[in-house]
Amino acid sequence: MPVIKLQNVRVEQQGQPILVDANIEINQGEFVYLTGHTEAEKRALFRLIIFENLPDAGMVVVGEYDSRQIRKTDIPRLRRQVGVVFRDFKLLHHRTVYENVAFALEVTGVSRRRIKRKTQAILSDVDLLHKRNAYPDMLSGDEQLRVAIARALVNDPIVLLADEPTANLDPEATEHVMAIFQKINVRGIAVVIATHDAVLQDRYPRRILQLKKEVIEQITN
Amino acid sequence: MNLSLVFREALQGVMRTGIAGVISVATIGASLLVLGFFWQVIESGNALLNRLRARVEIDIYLKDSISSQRVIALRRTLEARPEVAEIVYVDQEAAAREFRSIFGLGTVDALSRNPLPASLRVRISPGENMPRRARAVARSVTGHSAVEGINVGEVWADSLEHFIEVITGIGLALGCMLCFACAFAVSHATKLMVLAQRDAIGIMRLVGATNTTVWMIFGVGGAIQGSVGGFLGPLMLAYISPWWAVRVPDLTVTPTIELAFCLVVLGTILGAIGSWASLNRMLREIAQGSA
Repeated sequence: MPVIKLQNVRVEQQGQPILVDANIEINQGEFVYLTGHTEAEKRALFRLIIFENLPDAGMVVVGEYDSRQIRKTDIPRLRRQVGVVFRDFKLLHHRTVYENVAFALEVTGVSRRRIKRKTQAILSDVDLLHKRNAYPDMLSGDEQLRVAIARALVNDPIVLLADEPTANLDPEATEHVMAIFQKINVRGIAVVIATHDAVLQDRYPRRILQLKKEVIEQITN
Repeated sequence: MNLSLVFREALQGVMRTGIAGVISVATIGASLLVLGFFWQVIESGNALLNRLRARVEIDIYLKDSISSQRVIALRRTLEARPEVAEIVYVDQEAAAREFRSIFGLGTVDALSRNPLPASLRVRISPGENMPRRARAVARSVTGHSAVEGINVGEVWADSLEHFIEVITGIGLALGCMLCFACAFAVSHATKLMVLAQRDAIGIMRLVGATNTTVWMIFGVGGAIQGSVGGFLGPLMLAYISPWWAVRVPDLTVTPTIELAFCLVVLGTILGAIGSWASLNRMLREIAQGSA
């Protein structure tokens, strides 16, 4: 069952095509690399998946939401099903690790008791429970990344998008983070990692979607 | 919607703006101080003018040895006019007493008989165009057989009327300008808070917070800033009012409870509106730049 489906999608920016006739299908529990992309192409794709932009042609389906039918008021609900990890993590520096993760639940109206339970559980999953009272500036790069992963996962998404998550990590930290991604994936969450790291793709081989001159190709299965 | 989250985030948002937040609140306070100051000056000015207006009088001097029936007839004629608020009969003896109190003893007493005529002192009812109405009253009894002469005192009455018009015009123009300036200042001041929370807004949208939640948090944040500024305005006004009272005693600027309440409410509303206006712009920028 696809959690993300792009069919004949065309996206233009200021008259220039960014994606042309793009077709993607990512199924529940899949682990996919997105590669070969330019910054603009990746941004366009991510923005389509969180429905920040709608396609100029074609359709995008994420979970039960279809770009041709979605109402504006449904977009926040859709976004709760998509976890996003940015390259720069986008952590809130005046909040502790716990507060950064809990914030994603608080603003979506989750009860206090559930926030506490879920936040502690997810911090435990990313091995950061012991650092719950630390501020992001007190953490190493991979710890900050794990906080961002925890925040992206705390709303129980069906898919996790990660932008170059291992770009600045040493091999040991990369291994730790990839282990977390695999643990998440085993639970049935689709994981999409945008990366140019060929070593990573060789070491953890998965399906690769390659963007080439605005067209998405599948090069491995 | 989680109201405790809204208020907590709004409060923390205000606190986290730091110096920028202090400047915002001070700007709102200063704007409302100026607004409150002019409001009070206009209020006091109007009260002063109303007191002065109540003193517009016409002196109708009566002929010597006029019969009391004719004075009563003249009085009835005057009482029938809507412009007349009060009529006081000033006999010759009272006129002499007034003269002595103004010019001192001797002048009147040196004469063999009191030369001052009896008069009817007519007070014009307060309202618009008092000089014109005073002249109309004077015209209505000009030529009356009991009347020796009439003093309308037009010069100062005309000046008073002109003064009222000028003050009202200045007050209205200043009030409008200050309201715009205040809204502008508040909008810019609250923008600082929204700017300081830019990252949090982006995350809220990304993790699926509804627009209502985002709008509420920042609307309440702006309202908090506005209301604190609204408290500061009358507080500063109360602080400077004794200094002002020494210099301009007739135009007091001491804020009333009503004025303080109005300024707090105005500050709160302007804060919320300013915050929403800034947030609207910020959400568009974030939407263009996210992911």
